[in-house]
This record gives sequence, structure tokens and C-alpha cells, in this order.
Amino acid sequence: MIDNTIYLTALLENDSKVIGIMYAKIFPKVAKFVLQNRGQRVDAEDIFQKALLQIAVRYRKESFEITSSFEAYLFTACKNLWRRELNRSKTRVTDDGVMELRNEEQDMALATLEQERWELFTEKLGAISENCKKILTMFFAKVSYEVIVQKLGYNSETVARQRVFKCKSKLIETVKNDNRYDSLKEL
Amino acid sequence: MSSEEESNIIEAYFLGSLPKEDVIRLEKRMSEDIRFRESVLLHKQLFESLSENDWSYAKNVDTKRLKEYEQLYKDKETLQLKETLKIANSAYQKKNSKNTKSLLFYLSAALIAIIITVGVLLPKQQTPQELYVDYYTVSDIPSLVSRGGVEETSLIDAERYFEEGNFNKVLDILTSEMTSTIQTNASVLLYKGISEMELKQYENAHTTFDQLIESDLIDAPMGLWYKALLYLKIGDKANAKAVLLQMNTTSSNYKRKETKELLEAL
Repeated sequence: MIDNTIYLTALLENDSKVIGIMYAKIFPKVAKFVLQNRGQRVDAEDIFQKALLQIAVRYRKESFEITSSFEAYLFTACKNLWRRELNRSKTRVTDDGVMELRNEEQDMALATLEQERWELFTEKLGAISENCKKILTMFFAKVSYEVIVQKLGYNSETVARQRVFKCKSKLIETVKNDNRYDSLKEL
Repeated sequence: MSSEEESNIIEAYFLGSLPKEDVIRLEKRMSEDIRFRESVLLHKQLFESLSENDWSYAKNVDTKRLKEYEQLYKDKETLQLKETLKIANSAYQKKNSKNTKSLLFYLSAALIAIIITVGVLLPKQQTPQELYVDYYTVSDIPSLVSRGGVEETSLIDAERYFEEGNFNKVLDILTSEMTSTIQTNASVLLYKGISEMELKQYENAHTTFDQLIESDLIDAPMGLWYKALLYLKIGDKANAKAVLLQMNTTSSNYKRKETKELLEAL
């Protein structure tokens, strides 16, 4: 898409005019999302900047194609960075109770790998059958089998469990067969 | 143990329904069996990544790739970009400092206007596609989910897919699952037309925007604006101009300032 290339090139070339347009066009939506989800305007500013840096660094490392609009892609990157912030308290303290100390670049590098991993899983989930996608979306959101049976019209929990197993196996297989997985998986 | 039984145990572990003694057994097996450990960890990442309320953190990943990214974040080019972003942010926030909704709207429009004016004054004239990029935004279109009723869930899904850029899904919902009454709602027509435009289904988008324009709905002028953007996107300057001139003749104030700017730019 022509607009995506313009935005991506602007980030690589430090084009302040187009960056200004990105702020004017996309930041209000991100700010609205953060404010509606327990954040402040300053948080929105922070994640917006981080998301733009993340996209620029990823594109510099290896150019990639954005299949949606740039606005939607940037918004999703911001949403995920904010999800990361909101869940951060779970990982701040390690098992022995010591606060993990990371420099900013290290943390952003980790966030980038996490975003790539999320994209890999989301892409693979999107590529399996519609029926599998529906049941797995509910399953990974920890919706009970009772509700899954009711919502998706299965005859029993046993049938739903078998379906989840088959669909999950398919998803895991496609994830593992992707070249990106080895460099993104937890060791 | 069959792979299905193993999967059920891992699932119960993450759903918190595995008895304590089985948890101990599972964790012991993880420390001894590499394949099993990998399977448990992948389940963990999937649960965390694919749930809206969670996030899958990278804790113990490929060091080489991590270091490469870390280095890129420290590079001169990245630091320069960071500085540019800081300046752009403070310029933008300064212009929006009064923080009222209406002022936000007018200042955003002014910022765009300044940028566009500068662009127009430059020797190189902007192409229709560049104008499309400058003026295309969906941040001010009305939400799909302001109403109650049975379609609400589908509309929430449609709006979410729209925000994620999954326009095929948006169209699936808006064309097949909506009642005919809802299908003629202005917001639905807008989301449908924009999705078709994003998917390069230009003829369909044209028809949808016309449907909105020809309706008696209060938001009908929005159809004209997006139809003009559609023409810009496909590089059809003459028709874009004709639609913008048509906008100028209506009594609506919708995007009046932007319409004038675009007409000047064309």
C-alpha cells in the first residue's frame, strides 16, 4: 500500500513532516484507548513513541510488509505495548523477590520480540479454519467448556474438548513449522 | 500417556484445575523432559498472547536476536529518530494543551492545515495518493456500537476488526449478519465503504458511499468526503475534484475546511 510505504520510509528517514502527520492522525485514537484503560495521557505519549521506534527498528533490521493500514498496525502495536505495561507488575519481581533491573534498550528489544511472537501466533490463528479460530479464541481466553458448548452449539463438553485438542494441535503444528518460531520461543 | 491426555493435563495446569500433587509431578517432568517442557511453555505463551487481558513476556529467548535488537535501539539513527519523535510529540501536545474536545479537533485540523500548506508551497506538487495519505483518517468517524439490541455483539466485533485492520472480517459481519435496517445505518455504511476501499474493492466502495450519499441520513455528507478520498486513492484527480465541489455546495459544514484545502491543492 502506498500510504504504508510513505509512513515506513518517513520513520527510516527521520521525516519530521510526515511524523507530525502521524501524531495528528493517529495519536488521538491511541490516547483515547489508553485513557479508557487505566492510563494517563503521558502514558499514551510514551507508548506511541515506543511503538514508532519499534516499527522503525524492525523495518531497519528486516523490511516487512504491513498487510493492514499503517494506522491500524500502529494502533495494534500501541495496544500491545499498553497491555504489556498493564501486566508488567506480574513480572517485575522475580522468583527470589528481587526487582529485575533492565536498561531501556534491553526492555525495548524484549518488547519487540514479544510483539513479533504475538504477530506470529495471531497470524497462525487467523490462518486456520473459521470454526477452529472461534473455539480456540474462547479457549485461550479461558472461557469455560460449559459456555463454549452453549455458545458454539456442541453436543457435549467431551465433543468440545476433542475439537479444542484437534484445533490446538493444528495451530501448534503451524506455529512450530514457521521459521520465525525458533528465534521467538521461550527456552 | 496419549498426546490428548498430555494436552489435557497441561491445559488443566494453566486453568488452575490440576490437583497439587499432579502440579508437582508436571513441574518435575518439565525439568527432566525437554520436549514436554517446550510443549508446556508453548501453551503458556499461547494462553498469554491470545488472551486480551494478558501478555506473553520474553524471559528466556534467543540471545543473539535480542542483542541485535538491543544494538539497533542504541544506534545513532534510532537515537536521532527518538529525538525527532520527542520534538514532534511536544509540538503536538503544546498545540493541544487546552485539552478540550473541541479545541483538540480544531488544533489537529490546524496542524494538518499547516503541514499541508507547507507541502503545497513546496515546488513539488503533491500527487493524489499523497493527498489521500494526508487527509485519510478514521479517528473521527462515529462508533458502530452506540445502540443496544441483538446486533450489538456483532457490531462490537466489527469495530474491533476494523481497528485491527482486518477488513475482510468487518465486511463479513456487516454484509451477512446485519438486518436490513442496520445495514442502512450511516456508521455501518461508512465502515463498510472504508473497508472496501482498504481492500481495493473500489467499485463496491463507490456503491456503498453512493448509498450513504443518496440516503436522507444526517451523516450523508461523510459519504461524499470518503468518496472524494476514494478517487484520490486511485489517482482520479478530476472526479475527486468534482465530488469536493459537490461538497462545497451542500449546507453541511462537515470537513468544509479540509474540502477547501484539497480543492486548492488539486
